[in-house]
Amino acid sequence: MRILVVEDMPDIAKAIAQRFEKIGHAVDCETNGRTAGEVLLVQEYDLIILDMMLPGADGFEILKALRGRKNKTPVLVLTARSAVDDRVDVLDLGADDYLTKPFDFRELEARARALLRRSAGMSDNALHFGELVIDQAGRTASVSGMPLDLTRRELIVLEILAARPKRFISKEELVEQLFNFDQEPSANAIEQYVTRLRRKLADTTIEIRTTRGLGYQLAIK
Amino acid sequence: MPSNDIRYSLHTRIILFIGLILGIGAIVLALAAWQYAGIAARDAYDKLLIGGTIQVAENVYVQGGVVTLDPPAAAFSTLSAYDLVFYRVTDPRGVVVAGYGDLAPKIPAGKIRRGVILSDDIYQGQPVRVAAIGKQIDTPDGTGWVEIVLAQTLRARQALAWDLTSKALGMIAIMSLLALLAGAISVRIALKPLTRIEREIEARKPDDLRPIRMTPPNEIRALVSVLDDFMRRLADRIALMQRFIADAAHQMRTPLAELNAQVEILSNDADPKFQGQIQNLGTKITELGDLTSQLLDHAMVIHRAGAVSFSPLDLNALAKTTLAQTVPLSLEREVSIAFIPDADDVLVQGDAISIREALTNLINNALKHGAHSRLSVSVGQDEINAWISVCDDGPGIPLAEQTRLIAPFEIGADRTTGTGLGLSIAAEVAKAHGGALLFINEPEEFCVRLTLSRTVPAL
Repeated sequence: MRILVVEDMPDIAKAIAQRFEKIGHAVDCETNGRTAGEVLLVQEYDLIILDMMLPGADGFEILKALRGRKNKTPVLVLTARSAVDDRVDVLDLGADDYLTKPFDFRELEARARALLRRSAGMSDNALHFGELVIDQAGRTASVSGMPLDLTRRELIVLEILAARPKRFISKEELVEQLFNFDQEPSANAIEQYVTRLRRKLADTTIEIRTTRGLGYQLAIK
Repeated sequence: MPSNDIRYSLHTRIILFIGLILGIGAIVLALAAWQYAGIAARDAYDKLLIGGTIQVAENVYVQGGVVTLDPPAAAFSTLSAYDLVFYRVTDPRGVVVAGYGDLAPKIPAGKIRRGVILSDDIYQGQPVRVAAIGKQIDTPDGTGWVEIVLAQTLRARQALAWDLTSKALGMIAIMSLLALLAGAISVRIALKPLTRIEREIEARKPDDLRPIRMTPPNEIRALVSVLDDFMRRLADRIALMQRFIADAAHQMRTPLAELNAQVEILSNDADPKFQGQIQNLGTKITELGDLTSQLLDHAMVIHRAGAVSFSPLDLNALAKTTLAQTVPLSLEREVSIAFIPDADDVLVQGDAISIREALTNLINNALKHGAHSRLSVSVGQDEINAWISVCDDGPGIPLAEQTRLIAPFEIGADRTTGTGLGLSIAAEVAKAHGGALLFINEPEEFCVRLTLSRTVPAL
């Protein structure tokens, strides 16, 4: 997927680019706000990672212009300001998520992945499958209104399965989605998550089926 | 400083002083009254005595060559109404012709020939008032002076003097009491503005350093303006310090982010044998970043308390988005996250940004120090309060540690990480919303509850 990083600190931009290139995304970097705005007029991206304090035009202007054009590309905002600072809420301006500097690069990667998953066809932030509802912004899931207590990884597994309910999802695909670049990927761990998910879904109408050789599939009992 | 010590009470001091002056005045007045009453009583009874003496003198005549007295019954009965009356009439030869022979005034005989002479004496062991007069009379032996002496005991005049004095004393006592009462009331009225200032300052929140609202009377205007000025300087100073902390923390974020990026680049490129150290470096930078954020948050939360007006907000929605944003997606540990909203909307007046920050800190604390495998955030309400509870299945905070950990920079005894600001921020936010931070230790779980008053007035 194609990612635009708008960040005027060269080291930060470089570190972000390196991380996303290693997991197989194409990354463009822009250091000037005005240039970034112009690039966005002609080029489509799957994700924009946007710093707020920029030379040329600041992140607020870029975000406003983007959403003004009804462009729905997910935007992850990086800000040096604190959440308690007096400022316009970036989420109100149309950002999809934000991180405060200094941030953990693994967290940036995880959030970016979540946004990329969401952009794959979803119009609103809720995933529906049968009686299962996954609130992607609120990071909660429920079946027939009963909330499921899930760990973050269990939620991601369920989210990936629910996003493409017709398809079989292979263990390798889940490994790729679930682990950061710098973590030891493990197929055993995936099996554990699926086992725990099955236990938590036991009393509901939703189940996870396994088909040997193909992978996992979400189904209604 | 003992508050009942009279030296420290203006009220008592003034009342005592007024009392002292009034007491001395009353004693002087009482003595004067006694004096005047004595004189008045003596003058009144002296006139009667003189009248009686003259009447006796008029009833002395010569009969058959002998000086004779025809006692005037009316005069004697008037004089002896309350007293004993003695008399003596001596003829020109010096022979006592009537009355008591031993009644002898110490008055020179020459003086009494010109009129009634009064004097004090003791007769038959009693103090008496003595009146004496001479009367020229013709006897067969020629013209001579008859001496008439009347003595009256002092009972009636003493009774009158005492009567007058006691009435005067009553008046003095009543006047003194009224004056003391008036003094006490006026002192109270005069000191009232001070009491009002005291109450106003007492009722304030510790961070309320606005000028005193009431208009002070002229006498203490200077005091109040000095007080206002002092509070203004204090507020400026505090604002400056908070601004400085916030600015410093803010300025540190960008270089920290760059440093963090360097670590990230290094961890991608460097020799595997350095990876452990690079990771440690990364952890330290993250801790520094957390501390910086929390310093900024702490300064801002305190700054916002009282400075930002509250707006209506739904705690269910706020808690849900904060939970989603706060629990890292990259969390290594497998922790079940549960969100339990209240069945109804939980509407409170509050500052969303501070509450979000408080909750973020509580969730981070629970993830860092508490939760083994489970973290839940629940929202609840009753008539008076609304609350957000952050519960985990960790060890909790021992009862003895709880109060200490709310203070800034206090960290748990067995912990080496943490800035010690998280609980402090949450406690400040609760306080600003008229609530408190509560710890609930239960066998299965440990909860920190951020309560907010539902009736807190907007500032």
